[in-house]
Amino acid sequence: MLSKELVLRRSENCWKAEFSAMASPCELLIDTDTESEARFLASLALSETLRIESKFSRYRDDNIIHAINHSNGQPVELDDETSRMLAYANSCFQLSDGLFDITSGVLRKAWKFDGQPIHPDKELIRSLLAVVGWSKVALTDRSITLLPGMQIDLGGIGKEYAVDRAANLLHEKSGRSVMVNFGGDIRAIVSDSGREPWTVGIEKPENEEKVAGVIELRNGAIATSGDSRRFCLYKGKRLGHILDPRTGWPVKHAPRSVTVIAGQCTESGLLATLAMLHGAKAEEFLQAQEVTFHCIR
Amino acid sequence: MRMQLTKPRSIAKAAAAITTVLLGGNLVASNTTGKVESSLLLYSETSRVKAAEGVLAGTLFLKGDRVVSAKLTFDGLTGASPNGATPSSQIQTFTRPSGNGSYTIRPGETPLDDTFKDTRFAFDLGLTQPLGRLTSLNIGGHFSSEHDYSSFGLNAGLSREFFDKNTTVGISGSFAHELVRTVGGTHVPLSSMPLAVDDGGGGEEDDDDGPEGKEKKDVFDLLVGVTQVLNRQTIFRANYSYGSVTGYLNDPYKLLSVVEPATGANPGEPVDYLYEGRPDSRTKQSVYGQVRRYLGGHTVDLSYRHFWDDWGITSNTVELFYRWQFKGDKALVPHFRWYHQTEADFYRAFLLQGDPLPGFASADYRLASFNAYTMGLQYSFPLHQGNKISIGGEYYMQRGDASPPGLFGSLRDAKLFPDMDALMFRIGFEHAL
Repeated sequence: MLSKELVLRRSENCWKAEFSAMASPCELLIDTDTESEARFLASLALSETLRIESKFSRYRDDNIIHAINHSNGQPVELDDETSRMLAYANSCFQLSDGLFDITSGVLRKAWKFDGQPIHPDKELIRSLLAVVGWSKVALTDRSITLLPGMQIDLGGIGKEYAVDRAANLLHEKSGRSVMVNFGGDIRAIVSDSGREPWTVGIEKPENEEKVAGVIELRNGAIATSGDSRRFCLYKGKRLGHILDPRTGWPVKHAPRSVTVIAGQCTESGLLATLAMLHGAKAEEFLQAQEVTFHCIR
Repeated sequence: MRMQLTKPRSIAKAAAAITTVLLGGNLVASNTTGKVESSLLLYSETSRVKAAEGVLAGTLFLKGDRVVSAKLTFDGLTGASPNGATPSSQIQTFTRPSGNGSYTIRPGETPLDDTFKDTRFAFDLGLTQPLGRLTSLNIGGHFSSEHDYSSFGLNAGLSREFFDKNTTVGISGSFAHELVRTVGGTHVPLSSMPLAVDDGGGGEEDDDDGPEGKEKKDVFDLLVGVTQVLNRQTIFRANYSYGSVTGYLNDPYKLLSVVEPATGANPGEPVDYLYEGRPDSRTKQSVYGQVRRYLGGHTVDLSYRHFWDDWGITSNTVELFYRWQFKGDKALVPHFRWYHQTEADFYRAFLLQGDPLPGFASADYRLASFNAYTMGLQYSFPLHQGNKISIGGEYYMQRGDASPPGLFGSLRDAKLFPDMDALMFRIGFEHAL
């Protein structure tokens, strides 16, 4: 059972802290023998995670995301961190030729990915597309201005960002080897070359109890995009939940899930999402990037 | 700021680069972690002692699993404390502890010595050092000093983990040497309080400490304990402790009334005041058990202590904490404690005129039989970047037998163990280094 409270347990060679945040089971592994240090470090990482969750969640009405999404065409002043996040989202948009777009979330209104057949409302999709498109957004270092009715959603970045921040914070504060795992999005840091690498068990998607393999990570990250349970049926064909912001329709022939191993979790998450957006060419895209990946179709 | 990426040769490289920018560059690892905690405690007994305590504590987690901690405590105390004498239907006059001047107590009131005023300073230092993967050693020292008392001591402990670190066994010992500077000189136990030669000024203040006695005591403690992880949700802890104190164990400011017996002319009225006399050694033992259980995000912590010593005091303590954890690392912790002790063999609320003097006697209410109840509530919440604030209050009630059976004369209406209530307020701040 997981909780909002930190639960600390002794693991073979480290202390393990568990809690629940970002709608995921969260786990911190800290290479220390000292319980009080583990508890102290874990509480720092927990409060940083909760801070990011509350700041960038689109389900709250008291944060910067709510202010931006309800700005009704007016500019909204940005703090440094939000400014960096949006600059990052801007870079992602440029890198992906407009495929990665944090304004595409409103399109979810037209879709329901519960595994059932769907008759999408094409008129609704067309009208929603009017308020989708990062190129319609005016972003400066200090402010953002959306068109009325537009919304942004940092859900596709926030969790991986929190994983990296938590791992860096733990390591920066202690100099110790640490591993952070928020529901399968993982970042590992090993303090020096003499230390053992972290090992990560990879679950088989059809039977989550079984471990399909073990990956050794020294300094690296794993992120997964896609959710094999979230799809709909259209004309007898299966459509995954990744939406193409240019058409308003799910990306055709996208893998069920893409897992990428890279240096940082945010980076892995971005590559995995970009691969999904490449649909049938997901594997081809990842091979060209020369990263370790695993696609499930 | 708005980055334009034209024709990236590798999207992976670009993704790494923009992620590094987002995360603020590569962070340099430091070899230390630490925290500083500060707190302020305000304590007030109804019409008795008031106290304020400030604590500044620091913990450093060093490389190699070494932990260093230091704590500085500063207390200020003022107010009045029962001097041990019984109430009387007459005005009572007591010599101030210094021997200079006197204070008077109105008829029917519990005699309180209002010269209770002190400041205390204490410093604690500790080091934990692992010896291999399973064993750790901790050593520490302390020094504390106040107006009429100082203490310095050393402690050391070893703990070792067994069975996949599910079991921890520990042993620790401490030794302290304490010096008591008795204001007004050391009194012969159970000797009469001499009547003060009044300085004529009616002296509210007692600045001159008079002659000073130097006494000492040695305190030795030993503790063995085991902590066992029972399952994912439950931890059990048990320990046994043994303590021995030898030396000057009297409270130099406590008195005992000698009253006229029931057959006297003024039954229950004091005819003399004696300084208390306690044995010069005390051996204490206790057993303690604690269960902590996580209940879906909340924690319940229940403990029991049984204590006994060779002065005849037996006590039982039951303590319960419940920690309600809320979203955003906020927590509300209600707390309840029940305590009961039996009286020491030599506890006497008063002595009878004409009776042979006992070997030892004290009327200190802390050696009497009583119940105590504590109710408390604490709320804690994070600020930013690991800083945390906690605010808490406690209400303490001490209830003894105010009028034990067999009282006679003027003692029949007297409160020999007056109720004591105290209120505590604490604010704490934790800052991550």
